[in-house]
Amino acid sequence: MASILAVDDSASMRKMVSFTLRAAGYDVEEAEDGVDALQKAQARQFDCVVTDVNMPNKDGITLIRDLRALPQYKFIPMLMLTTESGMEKKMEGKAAGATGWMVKPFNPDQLLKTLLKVLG
Amino acid sequence: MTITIDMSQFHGVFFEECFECLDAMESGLNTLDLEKIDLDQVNSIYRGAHTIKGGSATFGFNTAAEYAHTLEKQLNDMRNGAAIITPPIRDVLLNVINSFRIVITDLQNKQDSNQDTIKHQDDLQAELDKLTQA
Repeated sequence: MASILAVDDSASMRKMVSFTLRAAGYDVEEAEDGVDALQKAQARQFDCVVTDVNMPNKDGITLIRDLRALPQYKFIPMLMLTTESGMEKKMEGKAAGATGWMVKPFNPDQLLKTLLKVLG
Repeated sequence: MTITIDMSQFHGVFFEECFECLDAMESGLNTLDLEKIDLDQVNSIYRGAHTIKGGSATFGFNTAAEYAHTLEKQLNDMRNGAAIITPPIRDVLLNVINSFRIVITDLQNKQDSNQDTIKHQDDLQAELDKLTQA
């Protein structure tokens, strides 16, 4: 089963996302912000990254931009899971290299359906 | 693929997180130099409201989500420089945070906030609106 890096500074959100993904059989590792995520992504290869946008230390859009600059993450699906619904932020995410965008409130089924789509 | 998840198993972590966010917001406001605003510090305070809003909406705590959303919008204006933080605004923000603790405690105790708490929170939000638009 695919490995997924779940990134969110909110502990409750991170646990919900991880629980959902593990229940669906995915291998999940958690990161609490963009800096933590970048370190974990370099230490191990993930098949997909699911990240929040607004986080301390390094936000989700910068994280995606930094990951896309790494050869091993150039073509890996990266999803943004956020309360930010503004078009401007979405475009910024897309320009950084985000594959998709999901708006909170968190919906487990929506996340799993989107993952099936992007992971093929 | 459909998975049924009992979201209530995450309530405890969420309430704990809310109190941590409210404490951090309070501390950030108390140490904020109003003469020389540190936007990173305002952004951290904003992020607390943002986190509470996201979780409240996910768990279906609609009143808390609405309060957090209003607070988030006001703090967003402050971090973007569209509104300034004056001493009276800081005082009201601190009162909003205190009142918010009661709302979260009520949720934690699985009870609806009483009318006095709701009215107090509404009044504070209205006062904040008035001050930030002045």
